[in-house]
Amino acid sequence: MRSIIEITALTKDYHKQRGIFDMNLTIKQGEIVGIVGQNGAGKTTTMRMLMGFIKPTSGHSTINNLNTWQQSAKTKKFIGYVPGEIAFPDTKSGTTFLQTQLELLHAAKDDYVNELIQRFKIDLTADIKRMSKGMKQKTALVCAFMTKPPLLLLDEPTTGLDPVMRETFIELVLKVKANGTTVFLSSHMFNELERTCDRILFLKNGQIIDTLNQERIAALHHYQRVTIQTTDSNSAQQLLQSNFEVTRFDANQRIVTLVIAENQTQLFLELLQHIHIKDIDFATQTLDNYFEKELARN
Amino acid sequence: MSFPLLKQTFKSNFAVWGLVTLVMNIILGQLIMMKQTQAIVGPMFYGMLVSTIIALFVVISGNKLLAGQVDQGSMAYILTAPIKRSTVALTQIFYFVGSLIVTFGLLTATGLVVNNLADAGFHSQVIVDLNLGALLVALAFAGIMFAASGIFNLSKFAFSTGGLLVITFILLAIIGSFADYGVKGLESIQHLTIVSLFDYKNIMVEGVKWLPKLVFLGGIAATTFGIGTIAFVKKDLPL
Repeated sequence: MRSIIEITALTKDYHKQRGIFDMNLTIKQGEIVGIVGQNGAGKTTTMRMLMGFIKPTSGHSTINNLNTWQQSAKTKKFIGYVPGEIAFPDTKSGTTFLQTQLELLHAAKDDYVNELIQRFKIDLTADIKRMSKGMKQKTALVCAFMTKPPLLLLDEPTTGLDPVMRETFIELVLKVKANGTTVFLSSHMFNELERTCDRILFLKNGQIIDTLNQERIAALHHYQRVTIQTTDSNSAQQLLQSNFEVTRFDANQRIVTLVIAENQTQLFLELLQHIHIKDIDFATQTLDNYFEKELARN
Repeated sequence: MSFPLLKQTFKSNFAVWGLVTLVMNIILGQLIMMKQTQAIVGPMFYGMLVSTIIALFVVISGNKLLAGQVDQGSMAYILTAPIKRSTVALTQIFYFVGSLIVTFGLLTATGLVVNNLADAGFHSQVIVDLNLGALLVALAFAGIMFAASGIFNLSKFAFSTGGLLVITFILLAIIGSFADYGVKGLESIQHLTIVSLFDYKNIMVEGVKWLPKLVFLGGIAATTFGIGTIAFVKKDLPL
């Protein structure tokens, strides 16, 4: 597969360690890549550089071999974009907005647009200024998907969506993926990334500090996170001194969280026999936990 | 130029443009119509009112053409289309200049028609030239506002630079005009404002001094529209 996005030593320095620094990334056609990180980690900056909205301090990025700053207008033919902050132009309703947008994109309203509108259950007759956040977000999604662009750049596409609509979004992403569409999205919702992405990049202070591929994502599930509240501090100490990885310890409440691999279950059960348990809770490790750990470590 | 964008811009500015144009036409028609007010068509209407009223449209729309939409975030949708930023800027300039030409074209027509009906005695050429002069003041204002709109990403900055400058020029012109009513000491103030480059007095006596001054106004307009375009093309957009 040929690469659609090429990011080479891309830097945007906003000073005080803000921005993105020396980023290198290749995204192949048909790939779905997620980017996660805290607020201010540089997700939106990355998206804006790919959209040609901001000029890199150094380095460059290309989409279909077109420079995203110098040849920005040409790259737009391939891109569907959802901005991080949704603000529509002065227009009456969702219908008029989509209409003007189709005109700008030199496209016509076809069955696919209607299908998208129905999928997201949008009432396009509503006054655009009175639309709820979720409704705006859905309209923006329709806008990005409606011309079937080969590349989608989605900056936090599911903010404001209810769980049902988030599910609809995931289904839609998987559907366009099947057609060979490339998707680059940022998100806070780890579970939606987990289900859609081939790769997840973890961004911190403007740098990609970790990349998870499907195998590593799957491997995360081979761990259990066990949270135990003990009746006495002696038991808590025993847990802390065990060979298992401790991710959390609350001395006051005597709560310890351990990470247990699948093949360690037997050892773990043996350990439990010596512990006075007040409460115990099992959970499969998720991306959330993983990145929490990652953050604490760095 | 992008036709869909032009259409969108036309629609979103239509109300303020229509209102300003209508008000100016009504006032001019009234002034020429009545014998008692014909004398103030020059000093009052073309000397003061016309630039003040058109400034409303220029400042409000000038901000909306670029800075307002960047500030609001809706510029993202325009630039999601395969349109160069320079095309966006040029389309907005085309609208801005075009709408002002239409406004003063209509005003010229109103002036000529009412002058004829009321037999007010203005030479047709004078009416045409007065409107040409007023148009160039408006274009210079528009250029200044457009430059501010292209440079800044926030409406408040566009207003507090471009808008403030336009208002200052108008205030100085009004204060300077008191010199015509006997306060001679204020004459020098007229040199501080570009509004006085529109020499309506010279036009009314059918002189020749006024034309080179208008060329200067045209120069201001061309330069500032250029600055706005270049700034908009080169800057980082928070979209």
